[in-house]
Amino acid sequence: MKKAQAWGIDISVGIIIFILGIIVFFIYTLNGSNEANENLEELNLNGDYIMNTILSEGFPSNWTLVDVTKIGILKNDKIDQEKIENFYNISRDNYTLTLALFDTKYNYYFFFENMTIHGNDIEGFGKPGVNSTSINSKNLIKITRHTVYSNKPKTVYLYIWEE
Amino acid sequence: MGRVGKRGLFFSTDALVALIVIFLTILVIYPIVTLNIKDSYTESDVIKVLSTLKIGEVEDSYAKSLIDDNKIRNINKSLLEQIGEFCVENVSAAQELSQSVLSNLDIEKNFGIWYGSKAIYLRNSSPYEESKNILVDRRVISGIKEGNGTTGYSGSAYLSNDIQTKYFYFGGYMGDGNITVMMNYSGNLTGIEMEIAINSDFKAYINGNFSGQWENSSDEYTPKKYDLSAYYNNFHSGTNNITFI
Repeated sequence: MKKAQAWGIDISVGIIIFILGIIVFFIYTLNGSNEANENLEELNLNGDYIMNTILSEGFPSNWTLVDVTKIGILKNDKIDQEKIENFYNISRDNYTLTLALFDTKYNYYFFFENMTIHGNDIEGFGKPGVNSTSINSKNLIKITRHTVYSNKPKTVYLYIWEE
Repeated sequence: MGRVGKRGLFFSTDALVALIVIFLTILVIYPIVTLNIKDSYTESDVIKVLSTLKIGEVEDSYAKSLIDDNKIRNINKSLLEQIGEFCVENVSAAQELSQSVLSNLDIEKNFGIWYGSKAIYLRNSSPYEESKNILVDRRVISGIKEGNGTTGYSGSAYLSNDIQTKYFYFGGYMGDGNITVMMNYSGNLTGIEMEIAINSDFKAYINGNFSGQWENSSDEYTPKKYDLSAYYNNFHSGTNNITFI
């Protein structure tokens, strides 16, 4: 074998080994098993953020359907009936607006026991057409928090998922 | 032939070494970049709930029975303060009150409330001593001490001047032409002074009322003071518009 041939084959083999190694690494290491975990972490962060936003006063503090820039349902650290009804109205009439206000691409469903909206008991609200038992998603996160509603300690839940 | 063979392995070996270096670097660095997600807010939420709810307003049968039996002296105390007071007077009442109020909360993890070293409320499926991770939130309750009376008085007095000086800043360059700015204050005005740098004479209107014609400042970089006190009747408590024309 001549010198030039040996060098040419060696360079080719070296390049092939390097490229194959990089491809295998990206396929099996970076895009493989961690993808699901990263999705869940992102969902978790989004869920935390949305729940923290909901359990705040919102902005402006006495926000209405017209001027809301941040949806929050608390007033004096308790769930305010007017604010939660406003939140319900927005999510019912313009669900995509609530997603924009929460700065999320994921769907959500907010619920707690004995929720009363406009005088009626409802299970919860969020993405139209779903309830807490009908969500069908591979990646679903449940955020649980505690606050005060109707002068009682209350556990509130948020489901967040991707479709 | 021997020299050719050595050269033949050079690039292949180099590629392998480069790959190994890259893999090792990524494997060493990658685990360091992890997100730290707080997975529970239970401890801070419960403390906040107990601090927010007043004993006189909480919808709870046991709390109401304590009020009816005159075992609670001040219904404006928060639940946390009341539980703290019971901790030094009647521990079982503190435990029952905590149990009654928090029974409806859905707490999936082991949870407990302690007053000092005294356990007031425990909801756990495994012993505290065997726990690996413990999240703690603390809240200080003032005015109670074990062995002492829980009711007392404290007072303080201070003097202060009820005349205040409030500054409103235009905030640098305001613009050209007619300019309107808003100013907020509360109370009664005793005097008002304005300091601006302006390169032409101007008229001032306060809430639409003419408030004098004024000379420009010596140049646009040196501010001049203008005393508007003669027009303080044109101001009112709240938001005021000042227009320069």
